[in-house]
Amino acid sequence: MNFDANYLAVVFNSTLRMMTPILYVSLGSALCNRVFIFNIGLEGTMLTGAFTSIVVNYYTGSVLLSLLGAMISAMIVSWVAGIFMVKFQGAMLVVGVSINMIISGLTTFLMQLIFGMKGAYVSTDLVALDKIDISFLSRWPILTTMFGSLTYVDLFAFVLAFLLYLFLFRTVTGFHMRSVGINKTAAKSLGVNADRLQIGTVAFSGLLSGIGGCLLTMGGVTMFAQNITAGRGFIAMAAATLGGAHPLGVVAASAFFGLAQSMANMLQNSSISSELTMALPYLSTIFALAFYNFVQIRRSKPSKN
Amino acid sequence: MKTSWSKKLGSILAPFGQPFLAIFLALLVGAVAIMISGENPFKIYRIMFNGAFGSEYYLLTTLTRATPIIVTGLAAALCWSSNYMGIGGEGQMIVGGFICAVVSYHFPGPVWFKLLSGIVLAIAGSGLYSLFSAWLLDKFKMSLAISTLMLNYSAAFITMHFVQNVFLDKTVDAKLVQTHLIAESIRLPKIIEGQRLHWGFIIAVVLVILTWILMNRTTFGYESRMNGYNSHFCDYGGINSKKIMYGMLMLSGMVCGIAGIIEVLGVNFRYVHNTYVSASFAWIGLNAALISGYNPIGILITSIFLAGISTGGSALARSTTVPLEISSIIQGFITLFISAKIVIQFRKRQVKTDPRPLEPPQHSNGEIPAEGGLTS
Repeated sequence: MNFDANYLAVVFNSTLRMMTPILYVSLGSALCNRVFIFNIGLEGTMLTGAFTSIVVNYYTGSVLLSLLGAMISAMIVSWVAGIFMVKFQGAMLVVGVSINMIISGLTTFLMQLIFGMKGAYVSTDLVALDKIDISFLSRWPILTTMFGSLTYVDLFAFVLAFLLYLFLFRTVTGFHMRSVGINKTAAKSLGVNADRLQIGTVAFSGLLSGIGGCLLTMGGVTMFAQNITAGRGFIAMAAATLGGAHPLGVVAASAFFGLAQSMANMLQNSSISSELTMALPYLSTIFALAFYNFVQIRRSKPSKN
Repeated sequence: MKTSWSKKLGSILAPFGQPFLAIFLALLVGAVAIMISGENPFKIYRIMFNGAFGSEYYLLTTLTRATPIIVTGLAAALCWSSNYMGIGGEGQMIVGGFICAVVSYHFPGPVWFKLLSGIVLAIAGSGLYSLFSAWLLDKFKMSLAISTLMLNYSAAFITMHFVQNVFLDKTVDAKLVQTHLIAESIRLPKIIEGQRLHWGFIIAVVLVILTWILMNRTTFGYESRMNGYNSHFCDYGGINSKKIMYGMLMLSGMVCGIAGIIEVLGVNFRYVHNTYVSASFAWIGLNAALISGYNPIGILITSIFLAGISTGGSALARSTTVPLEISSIIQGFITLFISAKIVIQFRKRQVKTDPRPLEPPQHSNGEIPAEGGLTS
């Protein structure tokens, strides 16, 4: 019995750690959805953040600068993507696909120039994000397991979700953003600078995905590998849809994908082949979205008639 | 007078200007990247050009590499031009290649039967696989982009599972996840003896012609192109857009499956895990389709050009310190610059027409984030 509780605590902990990088990116994706932008480039910007944080880490050894570097670099890339999508009216999917391709190539390119190697870069000189001190929980071993080895950045993800909820639904800018998403022409005619709002949102979503990338490379193990994001940016987009582009819904959806990811890791030690468990997060994304949309379609039908 | 003249010139040059401008700008960005790595861009580009088209051997290598890019590019053009923006070419190619390699080795019977059933089952398999995402879009309104992306990863891991645990070739290096070699008699013959170029390239050219006929000379092609322009109008005009969706997505899946088959029968002679992913054939194919505006003949030329950038990049890796990823940077930037409607905007600014039309919603792709708006 005790073992079971402990096992569940371990699963809970690993779910938390797996979900927060996705949560940051899917919050960004949710904001983009609100202003009618389908930003598939988040996969690339997340990778940008992951790479920059390790590079800054390598040169300065400062956690704060690494995080800042990840945020700024990802924001710049995303800002460029936003300009191409909104100002130059590029098809969103095309811009996103090319951004992903460029970043995937560029990070590997720079990796070879800076670290002189391909594949994965691991070093003992790299510093990790600061862990939250939970010694006050030491009386309850279960709680220690549940909330152990989390960073402050992990914690901030949940705070941020709540802040974004307030921002979207309780501020004028948030209201403008939602109005742009519902009808851009109407919003424009009311004097909302729709283009600037859209580009700004895409840039901000890039910033968030940069934090997610940084968390990926400096949260648990500090390392960078080629294409380390492995589709997490895409999963985050699915999470944003699943959460109804609502910041608090997105938290729940990311938790689901975090659970899928942590189950995939847990099952690697079992008799099920590890290749199949690696496909689990992606397959569960499909099933979860299908189920969610099925319920949505069912619910919307009677109200229409 | 002067404005009408320049407008006319602009409208003639616009379709040509955009790709060349994009390629020029992308090469410029690539030059910056080369300078960062401490080399002379002119020298590097000359090495790349020679490594791609410089001699008969290199040219034929480039054409070999272009073959799957052409085929996946055609597949992308088929579904994108009819408004179904699937990006699942990678997964479809994996499914096709895997089935072909496994069936044509393990099936009983004479060799020709193995080959035939391998090809038929591979095409059917990749078509069905692609139909799954069409079904998800139809029944669950799931974004085609997300479902095809997720299926790409799933296909890669699930086929890896089967190769690793069931069909693994243990006779050679155990580290490589690959199936057994297929019989020598069913491999695609070389066009020129001793060179790498095989008959797959001819198949790709035939597919280019067939796709052109399908898109421009058949009712189905016409209807799906109209659907690409405006799906609501098509529904109104009596065109069944659902039929087009299922038909086109299945067709593009089958064509991508053929790309996988060609790679198995012509290049690797087996299914090797991760080869299609790491070469990103399907993505470059999609880029080729986008750059050439879904024109099959254009795809043929663009694919050879993009494959040239890739083989040129490999030449760099052999002789200089510039990493070969320079090629995917240049390829990505070409597509990024193609996506921008810079030329058109430039002309618009001259005419001073105000506000730009609202860009149309992403049609039936289910990529409509407005769902989020409904929940509030």
